Amino acid sequence: MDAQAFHDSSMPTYLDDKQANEEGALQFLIFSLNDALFGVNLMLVKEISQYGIVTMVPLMPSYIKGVINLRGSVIPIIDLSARFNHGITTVNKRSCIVILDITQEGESNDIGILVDDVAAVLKIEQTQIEPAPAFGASVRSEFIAGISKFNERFVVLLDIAKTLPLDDLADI
Amino acid sequence: MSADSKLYADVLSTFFAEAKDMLQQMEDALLSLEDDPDDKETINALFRAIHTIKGSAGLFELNDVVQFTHKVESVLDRLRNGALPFEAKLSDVLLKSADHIFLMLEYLESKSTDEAKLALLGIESKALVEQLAEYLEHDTPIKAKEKNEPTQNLKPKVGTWHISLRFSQDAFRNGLDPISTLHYLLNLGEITTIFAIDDRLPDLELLDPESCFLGFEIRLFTAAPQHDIEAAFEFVQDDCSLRLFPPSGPEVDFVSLINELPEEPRLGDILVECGAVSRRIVEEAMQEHNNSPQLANAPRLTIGEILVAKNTVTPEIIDAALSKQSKMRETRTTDNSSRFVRVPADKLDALINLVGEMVICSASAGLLAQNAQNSSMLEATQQMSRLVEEIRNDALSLRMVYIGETFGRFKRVVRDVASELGKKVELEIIGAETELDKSVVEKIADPLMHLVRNSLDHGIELPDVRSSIGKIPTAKISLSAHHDSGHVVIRVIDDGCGIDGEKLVAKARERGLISLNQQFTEQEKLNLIFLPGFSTAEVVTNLSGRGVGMDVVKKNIEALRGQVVLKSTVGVGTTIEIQLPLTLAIIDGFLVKVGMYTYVIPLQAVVECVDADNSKLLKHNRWSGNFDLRGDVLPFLELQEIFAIANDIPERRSIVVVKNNDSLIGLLVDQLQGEYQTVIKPLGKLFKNLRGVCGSTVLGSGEVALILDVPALVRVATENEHEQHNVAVVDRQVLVHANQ
Repeated sequence: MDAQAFHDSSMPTYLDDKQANEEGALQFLIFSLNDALFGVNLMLVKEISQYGIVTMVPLMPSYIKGVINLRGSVIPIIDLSARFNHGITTVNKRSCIVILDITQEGESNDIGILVDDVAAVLKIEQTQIEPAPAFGASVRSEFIAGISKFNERFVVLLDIAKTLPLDDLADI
Repeated sequence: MSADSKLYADVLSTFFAEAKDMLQQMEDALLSLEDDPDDKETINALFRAIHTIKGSAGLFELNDVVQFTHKVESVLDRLRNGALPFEAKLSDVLLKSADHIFLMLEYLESKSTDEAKLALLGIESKALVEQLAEYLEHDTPIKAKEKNEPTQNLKPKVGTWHISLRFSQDAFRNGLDPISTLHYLLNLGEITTIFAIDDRLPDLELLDPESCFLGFEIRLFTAAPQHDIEAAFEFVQDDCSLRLFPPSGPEVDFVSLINELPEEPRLGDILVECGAVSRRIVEEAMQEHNNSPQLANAPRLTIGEILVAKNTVTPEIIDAALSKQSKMRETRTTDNSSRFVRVPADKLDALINLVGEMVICSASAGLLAQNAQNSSMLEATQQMSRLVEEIRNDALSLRMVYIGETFGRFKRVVRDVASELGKKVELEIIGAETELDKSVVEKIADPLMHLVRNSLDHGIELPDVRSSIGKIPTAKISLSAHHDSGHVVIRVIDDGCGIDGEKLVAKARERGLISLNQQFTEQEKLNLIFLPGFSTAEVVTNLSGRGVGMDVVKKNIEALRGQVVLKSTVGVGTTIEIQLPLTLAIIDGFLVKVGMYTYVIPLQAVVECVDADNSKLLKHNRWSGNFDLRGDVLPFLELQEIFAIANDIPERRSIVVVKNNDSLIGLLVDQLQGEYQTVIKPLGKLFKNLRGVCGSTVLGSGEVALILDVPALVRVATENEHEQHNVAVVDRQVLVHANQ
């Protein structure tokens, strides 16, 4: 996979160091899911954790994979692929859990998302972000904050607040 | 913010917190005095509370608070001296004053600049000060009467007072400077002679420069009354012993002074030198002191008694002695309170989380030691895990508070509301020592308030109504709490008129909340009261009956994953039972395994475990059935089906028999794993609608296990059944399976 760089050298892949200091650029964590690339705003990312034992929580929708113990806190894990109606993720040996700190209605909640592989940290200029297409994308358009490119491939930048609205997710 | 101003802000916020505690203590003391008006200890506690608030407010220059509390203090001082009887009206005024101080503190704490609010506080202050003044005015007539009696000492007079002052060793450490007190005395009059008493000074090499060893003998020429002189020492009074001798006092008083301070041999000489006493008296005193060992059975106190009997001691001196005694008692009790430390709750949470991590780490260290077959290391890890367990238990207990604190607050509510309504009500508190997590206690206070008010307003009848139907005129409201099956059960019980189910039905129909021909069981009728927009009060009072009553209570309690049950008998009374989970509490759990997942059943709910003999199992549907438990029918739930866990059913399974309300039910599981003490970790917001599970816990392996909520599980199963019986269009189970 062309996103190996992140794992081979522990250095994140920046587009350009100079750009890093300029305003208008946002940093994204790029990960892959079902062979497509997605990005989440790096500001939301708390940490990346290995896929470990996930305890299934019964009577919940399939996109709620379960809960894990993260240093004493019990954190829910969302199966993003199931959330996008792409079927339940098969866990492979590169599978990771990206822990996001989601603040909604002034309340901070940690949520983990299950991804196939973490690719890179990317600095993207506002100008390089295209608006979400009305149709034709692999995920529902309201989940998309924008589209950009990484290594000549499209990256879907997710609007996490819309993708994981805690209140709606809680309604079974 | 600079370091200094941050420190100031920190200290100030501590002051506000402490002052509010003090006000709570004050309120408690006042309420307990209403039952026992002669309790000296409580009166002292009352005085201490207000005195401390005044003192600390003074440090922060909160002058409005100081001025107001000073008035309250003066009244309390008279109460303490027995100059004022404790009566209901005074209690009212004092309670109102406490509330007012609370409001003032709230206002100051909010740093608000709301002029209108400030003005309102000012008006309230003035009104209360006037009411308080009534209790001070009484002062003069009593004094006037005394003036006619032979003792003319109370009248302020010009003369030379003798002041004997000894500072305690901690005076410097407590930030007091004796010199400023002495300077202040100059405002009152002229110091004619002053002797420093340095007999307590140790040798230089033993001298702790931070300790104060000084004492003074002062002759003060003044026209000020005793009260003013004493006031000069107000701020140092905890750190010094003060003896005042009025100008006309007989010389014999100094005898006791000399006797009391035998370690200061020069004292007699000093007194003679400054002209307080004659040589002859001192010699007599010395002789008496020398004789005293022979009077071993009659210690110093008898001297005082003899002096009083001889009528040689002026009231001032008795006063001084008394106030010294009470001061000593005060210091003793303050020592008690200093054993508490105030800690922010989030620090405790962080500690508990860390300790939880330690438990898991020590478990895995133990596992490694076992695998390495290193016996000495194994021993060390076992020792460690035992200690860590202990630390965890201690840390957890830090967050637990007695519910009695919350219950205690209702004394005031019951008292005020009952008197407003003209009802006689006694509040009984049972199980005040029941421990509950602080966060739950905080959240339960409001719903409880509603329930208690409802009972007072609608439940309890007026005294004459009660007498006419043969009840004791004084009604009783009980607040009780106890632990049961991993829950805390709180009951609000009144012996009032009860709730008439028929009336509720009629009311609900009138409001259009239910359809006309709906039929209800007795319990369902009572439950109508929990419907939104339901209020039975004929007249809307300012206490309750605003229609936001019971449905809000129910919602609040359910938000805590609790339950409310209402039981009532017309004419006999109403019981409202609140069942609450112990969120962060430690509960003993019972581990069971279903498929690859571990679940925890609260141990208190577990009655027994039996082998699930297939011949005794009779299944009604996929998820439930009946089990033949020694001839009795035991309904059981099959967890694997309810939770839709894909699993090969093992040959041998077990049934855990658990209590559910008043009945027994069985849970069919794959494997029993024994007892385990669990720390409940609440599942996040995402799982707020999840039923059948009331929390989670982290096992030694680091894996998360879910804690089962048995009553909720039964509800889920019952609903499933209803759906099936009603030929439901959608089979819920199929849906769940599809989701997996």
